[in-house]
Amino acid sequence: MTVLELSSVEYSYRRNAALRGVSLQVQAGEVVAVTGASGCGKSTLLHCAAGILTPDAGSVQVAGQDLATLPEDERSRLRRTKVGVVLQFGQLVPDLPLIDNVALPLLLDGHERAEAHEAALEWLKQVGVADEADAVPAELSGGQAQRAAVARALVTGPSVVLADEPTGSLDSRAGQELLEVLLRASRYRGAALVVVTHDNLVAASADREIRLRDGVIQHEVAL
Amino acid sequence: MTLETLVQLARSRTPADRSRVQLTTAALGLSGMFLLGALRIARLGDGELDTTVYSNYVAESGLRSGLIAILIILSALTAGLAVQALRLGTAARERRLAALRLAGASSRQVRQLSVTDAALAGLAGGLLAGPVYLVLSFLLGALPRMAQVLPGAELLDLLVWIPVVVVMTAAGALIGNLLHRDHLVPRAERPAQQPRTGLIAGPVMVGLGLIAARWFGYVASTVLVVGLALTFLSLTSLWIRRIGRRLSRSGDPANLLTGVRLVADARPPARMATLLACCGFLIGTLGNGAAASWTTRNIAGEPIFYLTGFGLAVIGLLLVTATGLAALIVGVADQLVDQRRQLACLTALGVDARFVRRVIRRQLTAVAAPALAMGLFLGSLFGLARVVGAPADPFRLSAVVLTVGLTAAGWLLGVLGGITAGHLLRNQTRDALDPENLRAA
Amino acid sequence: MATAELVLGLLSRDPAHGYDVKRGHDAWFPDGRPLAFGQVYTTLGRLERDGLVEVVDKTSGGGPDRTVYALTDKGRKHLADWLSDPVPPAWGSADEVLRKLVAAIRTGGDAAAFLARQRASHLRRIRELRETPTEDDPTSPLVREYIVAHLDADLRWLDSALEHLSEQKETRP
Repeated sequence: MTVLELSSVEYSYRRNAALRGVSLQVQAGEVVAVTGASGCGKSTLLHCAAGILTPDAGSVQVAGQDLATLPEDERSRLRRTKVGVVLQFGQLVPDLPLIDNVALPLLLDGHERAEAHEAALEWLKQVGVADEADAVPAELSGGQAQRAAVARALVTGPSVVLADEPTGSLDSRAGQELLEVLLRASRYRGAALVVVTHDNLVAASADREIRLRDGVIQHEVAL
Repeated sequence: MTLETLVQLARSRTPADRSRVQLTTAALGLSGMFLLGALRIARLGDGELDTTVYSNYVAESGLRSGLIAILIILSALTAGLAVQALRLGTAARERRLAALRLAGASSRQVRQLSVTDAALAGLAGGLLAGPVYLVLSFLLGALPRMAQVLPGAELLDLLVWIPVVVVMTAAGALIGNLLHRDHLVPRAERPAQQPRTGLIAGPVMVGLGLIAARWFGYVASTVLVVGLALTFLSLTSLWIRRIGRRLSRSGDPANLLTGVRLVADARPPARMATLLACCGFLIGTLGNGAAASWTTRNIAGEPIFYLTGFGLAVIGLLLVTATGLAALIVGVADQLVDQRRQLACLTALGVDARFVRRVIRRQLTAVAAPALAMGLFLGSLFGLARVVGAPADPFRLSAVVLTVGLTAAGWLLGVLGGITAGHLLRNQTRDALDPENLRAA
Repeated sequence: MATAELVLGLLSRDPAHGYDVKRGHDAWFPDGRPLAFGQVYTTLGRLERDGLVEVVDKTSGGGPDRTVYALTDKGRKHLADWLSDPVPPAWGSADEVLRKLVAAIRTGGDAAAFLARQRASHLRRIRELRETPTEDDPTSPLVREYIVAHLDADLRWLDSALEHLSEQKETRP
């Protein structure tokens, strides 16, 4: 089953074309690494897939629904429930304790606080930062904050998790641990994982490598 | 989103946001208090009242309506301050909203949060307005009869308070909705268009107001003040940018940094400079009027009547000026917090707190001193008589002396404000320069 | 060692004699160890025996004997197979990767495709290593880390090689 499909996606920042017609399909449960040199468009690709950026041309389908044809509210709901996002840093709301940060997608979806907190705590345990549930992001190490971000990405049971350089701000050991957490958590949920990375050790965990260069796919190999 | 979630998420707990909400609440509280006062006086009806019981300003029906108008204007002015206060910390707030958007909030939900945040501040302000009104009416009650511009509080005020709370909450929500900006990805700031319309419309309105004042009285005065505000607003934003650019070409690093900071964020100082200039203008006209009534002594009635009026008005305006300056200072403090990472980088280059304080002082002085001086200069030059349409005297030597004196005083006040700000913000400066900030992403 | 395949590569464009092969090899790997004459002739002899090269010309004039060798069809196929096959990522396999890459570029093969396959092969190996638990002794984890670190270094070099190739293709279309 295809959980994410990009068809001929194009995106430009002012005059700089970042993506020049990229198509890709991600199957349920698959792990895909998107690699390439800095500025090749890999983060832009992920942002388009996550609905953070709207492509200039082409389409993005999440769980069979075309993002562009949905009204904004529906699109946000889809992003919230079907897609989990993990960025390099700075995605946690600074003034909220971890437990609220992780519960956020559920709370935004209208779940009761107690129920949302229960699920959030479960995920915090899963990623190994349950002890920090009441801390705010500034009190955490980079690795802990990223773990919480993984928990938040998975708390709604998405069919695909999109991670943009999730280990980029961590040293190699913490990065390795986070990667394992991310892989384990996605696998546990049965979610596909698309990870944008310049780190070969991260890419090595994927089932497939897609390499971008200058906004087009340079090659795609099964691993 | 449940109501509980909405309220919980709307109330941001970052220190910057807390001071922003406190300031907004205080401004809306004052606004509500003025509204309560206006309603209290309006309930007196429109007949003449006993001048042995009430202050002349309240007792005489013509003056009463003027007093009500003034209170409503003050209410609007303080609500304007709330707008300014709510704008503080935009960068940090936008980051927070972007984080919420990343967590899957829709743009409507984010808007709801902004509106709820401001509405809660409005609600708190409305609730605050009651006690503040009570205290003020007691305080004024202790003054001599002429200065008792608020009749004592009564039980009915309690009933009126409820709609005032509702109105302040609605006002908060409205401001929140108007100010809401929503980008999932922060967009590069679009350079503000040059406000040319204000440069033309402003002076035209000033001219119209001056000419028409004789026949249309307060309406014309209002037109004049609005025109003046428009002129100042378009002038200040132009000139702050110009000063900023000139400073940023300077060889002195302190001037350079001041200039860069002014150019980077010219709008809030421009708005504050406008407020200061308008206050300066009004104080100038009042000073001129007071001087005129003092020197000619040929007006009917007790001098205490006029002096009370002028005194109260000047105190009110000085309060607004002080609040304006405070908002300016808070804005700078906010900028400090927001740029703490960059400033901490400066520490690595050997910049110390004293240097940054100098930058802040210059930044504030460059905005406040000319604005106040310009307002006072124009105000005392025009004079109260011309503004309200009374037959104006030809310029006298005393008026010129007054104009020069007030202009100098305005400049001094601006400089003083800058120095005070540098002093008040010394802790924030130190915190901002702390190399620890380099750690925060 | 892949000297045999390199010799095939060196012969792939034009027939050449032993001395040319040696000089060609040293030009391909200017910073490497030069190929010994003895090794050239034993290799050519073995290749001829296996039917991968053949003697096309033999002159014995005034100077020394010169035997000119050329690739046979079998030899050409062997070379192509070798070039398309990624090197099993193992300890010390980088030399071999470099040999293949140089040979692929020099003989006009699809170097980019080779690099992509080699990358995949390395990535797969890293994953395998990570997925199998190490022995519970004091040195196994160290050896494992050593190998992974070296594979990662190879991968980084493969990345830059890929980038380099793409840039060359753009500047010289």
